Amino acid sequence: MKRPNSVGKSYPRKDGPDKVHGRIRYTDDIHPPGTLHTAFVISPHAHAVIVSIDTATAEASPGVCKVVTGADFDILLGIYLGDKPPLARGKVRHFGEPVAAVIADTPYNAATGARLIRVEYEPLPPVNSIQEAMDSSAPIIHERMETYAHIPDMLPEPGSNVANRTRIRKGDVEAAFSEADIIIEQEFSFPPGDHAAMEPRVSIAEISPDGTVTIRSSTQAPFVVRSLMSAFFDIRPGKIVVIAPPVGGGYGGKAGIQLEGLAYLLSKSVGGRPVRVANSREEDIISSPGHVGLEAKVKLGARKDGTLTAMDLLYLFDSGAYADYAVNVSRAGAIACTGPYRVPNVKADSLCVYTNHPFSAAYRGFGHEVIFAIERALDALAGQLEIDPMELRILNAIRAGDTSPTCSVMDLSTGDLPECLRRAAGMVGWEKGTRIEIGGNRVRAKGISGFWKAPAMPANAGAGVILTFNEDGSINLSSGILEIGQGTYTGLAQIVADRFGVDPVEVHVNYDINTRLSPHDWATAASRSLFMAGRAAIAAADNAIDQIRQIAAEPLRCPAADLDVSGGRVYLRDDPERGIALDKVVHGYQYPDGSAIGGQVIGRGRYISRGLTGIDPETGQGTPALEWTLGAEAVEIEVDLSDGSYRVLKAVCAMDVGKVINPLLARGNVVGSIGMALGYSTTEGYIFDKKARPLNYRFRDYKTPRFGEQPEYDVSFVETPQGDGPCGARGLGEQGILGIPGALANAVSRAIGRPVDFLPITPEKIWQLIRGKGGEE
Amino acid sequence: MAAHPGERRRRVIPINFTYSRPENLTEALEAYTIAEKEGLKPLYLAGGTEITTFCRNGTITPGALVDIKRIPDCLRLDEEGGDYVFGGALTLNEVVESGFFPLLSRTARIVDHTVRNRLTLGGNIAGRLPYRETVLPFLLAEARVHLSGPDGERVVPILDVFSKRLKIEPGELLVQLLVSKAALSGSWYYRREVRKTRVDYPLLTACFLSINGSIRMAVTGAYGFPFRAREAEEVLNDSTIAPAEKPALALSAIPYSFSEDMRGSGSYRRMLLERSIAQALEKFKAGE
Repeated sequence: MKRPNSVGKSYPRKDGPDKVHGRIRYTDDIHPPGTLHTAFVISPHAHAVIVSIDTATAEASPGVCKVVTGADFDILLGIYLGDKPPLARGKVRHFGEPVAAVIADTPYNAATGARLIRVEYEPLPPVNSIQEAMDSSAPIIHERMETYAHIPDMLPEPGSNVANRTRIRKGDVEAAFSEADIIIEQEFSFPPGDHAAMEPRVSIAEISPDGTVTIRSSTQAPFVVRSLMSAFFDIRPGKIVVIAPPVGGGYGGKAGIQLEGLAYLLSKSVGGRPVRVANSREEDIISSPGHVGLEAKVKLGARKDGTLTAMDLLYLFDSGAYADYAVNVSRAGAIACTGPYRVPNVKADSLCVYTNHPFSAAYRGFGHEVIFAIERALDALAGQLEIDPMELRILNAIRAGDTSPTCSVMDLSTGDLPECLRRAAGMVGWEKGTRIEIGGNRVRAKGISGFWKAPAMPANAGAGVILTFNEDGSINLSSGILEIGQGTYTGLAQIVADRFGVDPVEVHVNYDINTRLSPHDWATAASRSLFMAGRAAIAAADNAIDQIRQIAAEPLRCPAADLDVSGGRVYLRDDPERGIALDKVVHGYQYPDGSAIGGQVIGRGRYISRGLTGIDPETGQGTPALEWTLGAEAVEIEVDLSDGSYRVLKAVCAMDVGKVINPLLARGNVVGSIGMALGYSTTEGYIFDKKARPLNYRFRDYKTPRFGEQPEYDVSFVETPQGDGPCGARGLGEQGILGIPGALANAVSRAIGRPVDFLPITPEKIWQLIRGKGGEE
Repeated sequence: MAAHPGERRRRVIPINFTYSRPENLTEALEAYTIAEKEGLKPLYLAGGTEITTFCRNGTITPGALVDIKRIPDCLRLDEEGGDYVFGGALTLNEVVESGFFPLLSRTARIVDHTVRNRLTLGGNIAGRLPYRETVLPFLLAEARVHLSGPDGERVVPILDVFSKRLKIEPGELLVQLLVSKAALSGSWYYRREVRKTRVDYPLLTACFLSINGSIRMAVTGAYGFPFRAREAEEVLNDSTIAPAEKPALALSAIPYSFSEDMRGSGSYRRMLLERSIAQALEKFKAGE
């Protein structure tokens, strides 16, 4: 009997119709009765001592229940490094930092109260760049860093502005450079920016009289919120319930813990009543964390034939005022420091540096943005050696049997990077020429880049899936994964449907995650949701099918091992006509005389990452990567050399994803990644004034690409199976963002004949380079 | 626990104001005058996008808003005598699609279609943001503005009441702009330059109109405000100056400094504006 397969086929996303009809309930749509509202007073300075806060008038304002300031909360929060007071205490460290909160019966009264608070500041010299922060005379932004609690993987350097330093030491770099035929040294940078998710962050907290804390939040990590809340506030985990509705765009900005801790403290300050903390757009940009900035120094050594022999790398991540996820972003940048290339000798220091900029969290790509620097340096190497940049990358592409920067061996699941490079080149028409003058000051140019990414996650990250059944035999799927737009719910449904030989429409996926009802999951982050929950889903489906066979074996009078499940029936494998419909089995089988056996089927499946370790603090050696997803991207652009204006005509990606579960959604995810990359490569990023205040913290000024400005996209998938992945699949949620910055900068550099070593690449900056404010390439 | 639509306010603007939506100019002026007397700092409300932004950040706190979008005089879009009549409350899409004044249709095509359903001609010209791009064609066509205020109605040349911004009496409302058809007989050139994405404020917007061989030029963005570049026009229309030298000389004749802000430097704006002038001259030369 032919089984209908659903893995590998395109299905529209399960959450799509509800989203486009506005029927999805996001966190902001939830209004528990009696909810109080919050408004914040935020700092107009990037760095200042708080001299005094006058709250008297606000406290007397109509409807105001409570006014709190940093002085009320003697606690420091942070996912890896506890450095952030819930409200600024003693001093402010970035423009937009909340210094006081007004809790009132209505949003209006809260906002009115907030406007009545007077804060007196004494400005301090701001640290406005990574360079300034690293200067020995720089103001120390966190004076008491030595007292901060942190996990062992993070290595802060008290007395400086360094929140973490991760070291990679592989081989003998000095010897390799002394023997190298050619050495390339270059510096690269991009500024911090915002995620620009459609849904601003919101959290609602309440504490019931028995001490149960309920948090409703726009979060990618409800279980992280639960465990951190427990650790910070000394609450037993079982007394914390985190409810997470679907998320309107996460991109990493809703990972870890965000507004939840503050919402809890505010609820506590009003006797446990529900309190809503909801960012305005501006607050979401400047008061909550965004994307790290980067300054990178790259030194490459190679032989004449282009074979890479050594890299010496310094990555300085601008985490802004607080470390949040950025300390781990800098660690991930170290683990991936070479890009997807075979490099026998590596020395890398990757630092998370405090500045007085708005602070930074995870962001799609998670530190692997260092690839931008590597890919620019590779093009410089190719230029000097007069080797085709694509061939140079194929020559050095990391392959099975090579070792990663952390000296772990790339296994048989390693993707086929050379094939990805060839495909990306073909898709963008590489062989037709990479720089073509088309007249009228216009040049068409192409750029290519490799990329790789591994999940940055705890070595014991896990996932779980529970399957229950309805009277019609259809399946309910519960996991701990959030639907954040990535399409995992549809993928999980396909995997389970495939196992059951039914259409995915027969699998219902629960939207809301509730930490008391949903199986535990680490977090919806690191591009590992489909991988890990997918494995759990397969296990849960097989577990349920076993139970179904056991129950059906008795009425069918055969060994359970002789039974198959497909098409909504359980039947004898060699006599398919003899079988029972699943709806007669999934809640127990009832004989004609009324007696019943078996009971309901509850499928359970789980998965935990396999054989991962931390890394050595001195050498970085270890096995921290669940898997590596490799790929290549390329762009074609058209530049007007008279003014630097340009258009991206085409952007392509070839990625080895192991197995495509859903071609339509996989393509959508990659196209979205490319679009996001083009945003921060061409227009986004904060523009700071001399006092370290971002000028563009409104959407009137913070510009993301518009629908009509998208290039032609082309996406191709290579399928080298991931041995331990579900159906052979590996992660693809973030990777497509990583190669575009380098490919674009390479294309622009090629077009204008001068190196472009920064993002965002604006027409004016190109024009300045063309005018001569930059060296020859 | 689903939200009542009225509760779904993530962020409120914590000011109270009275709202009125008069059906004619007399009622509008009355509403404005009463609110003024009560110390409410009234504003005329059209599309409301700028009012919302400036209320959100606390820059303005109007106590009364007089919505002019129902007043027939402010919604006129037709011909009268030798004039085209553009009501101040017309949406920019209505202006774009009218096609009466091609340079205006082009200039009014800012942001995107959805936002232009909300933006109005009067709001764009009389608002607080410094760009006011749609005024440029009217400055070139030497339009007249129909104003209505507590002291009555008046129709005056726009050049008399527009200097970097619209300078009219408190309580006066921009009811209509009147453009003589004769002023639209010439050819025109338009150029808008942005930092990167088109949906952004301009680095500069430059409009040119050539009437009977005489070139008129108006610019916004480049210098921080819109203006009719009379000094530059003198250079452009001076037949004793070699055409190739005109763009640079025209720029040096303009008595203002280029803007420097987060969108771009003065030197980049200078290059772009100089090029715009050259392109305009090229176009007009080709047309002759």
